[in-house]
Amino acid sequence: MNTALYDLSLLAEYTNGDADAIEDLIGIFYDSFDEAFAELEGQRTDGENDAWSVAAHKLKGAAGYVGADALKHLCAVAQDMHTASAAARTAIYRDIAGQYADLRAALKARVT
Amino acid sequence: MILGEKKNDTQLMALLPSMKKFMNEWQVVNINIAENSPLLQTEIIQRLLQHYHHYEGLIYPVSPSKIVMLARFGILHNYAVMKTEIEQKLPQHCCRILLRKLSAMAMKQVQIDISARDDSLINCQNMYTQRAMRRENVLLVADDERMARATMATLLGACGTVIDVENGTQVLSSYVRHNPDIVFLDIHMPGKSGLDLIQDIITVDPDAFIVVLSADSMKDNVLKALEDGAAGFLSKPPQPKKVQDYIGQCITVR
Repeated sequence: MNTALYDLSLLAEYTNGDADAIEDLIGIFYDSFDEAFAELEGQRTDGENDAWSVAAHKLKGAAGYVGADALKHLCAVAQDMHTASAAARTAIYRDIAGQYADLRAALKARVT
Repeated sequence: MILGEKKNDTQLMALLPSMKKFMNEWQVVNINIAENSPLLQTEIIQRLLQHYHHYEGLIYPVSPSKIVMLARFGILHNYAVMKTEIEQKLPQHCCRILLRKLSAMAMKQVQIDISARDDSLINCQNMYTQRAMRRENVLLVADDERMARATMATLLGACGTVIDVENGTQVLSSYVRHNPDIVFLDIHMPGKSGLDLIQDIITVDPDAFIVVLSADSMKDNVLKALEDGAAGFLSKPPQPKKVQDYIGQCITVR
């Protein structure tokens, strides 16, 4: 697993290196992730919950596009928690939140 | 394997008992030829008869640019492998092959092909023919994830007009309306699963070029997609080169 917080090489391939287009896609990533993350927050329930897994699946997918492997891995773990306690879901939700915050900070700090 | 003729369904009728009894072992192979060439068509048919003579089935030309082979290949575990094997036995760079399990709808299409009159075929502008004659390329992206739609639109934009839908219930109507050269189809969508949509699309267009695009690349999903008639499967996020490879395989894309 790539230990770097992100890898934009795939977006660069999609856009032929167009910096403005890459920034547009990063903006869409933020919107997509934020939306699914809000869904995840609302599904921290006890027991079976497919909606939790669906939200985690969306987060996992979005993270993949910016090469955020560590974040993607966390989301994959969350996706597999079809049956779990609210406490367990809250714990991984917080881990994802922390990893996402680090990712956003790193993306903001990069030189474009 | 026998060579069939249009307006002669007696050969098909003779095979029906076997098809009904061994439905899971029968497959439909659609061979779309890039050019209208009777010589090329003849060569393809001869090669198929030669290579698959010991299999039960029927080969018949539907039009100058399309051949259908109905074959009892047995229970296949990897349609992509079988498709590649058939392609290797044909003249190079001229055909696009779709291979899928025989279904009730596919059987109906075969019966229509064989019993249709020549003049009705001449007048019938089916979806594949319309795409082949059209100057512009049209690509359909069906995915509920905005990031997936945006990246595919960026990648495909130079290739042609990109249409996107985000709900499974919109896919079929959009397909019929826009008649895309290729459809990139996500599995998990609200309204209807991409895997279920494959058969819906092929029912209205047996020559549909469908590439399933999903972060969920479980082996069972991949096999089902290929069995039902998808041309391929890409894991998300897709590598641009692999997307371009599929575009290159689509005969109607200019």
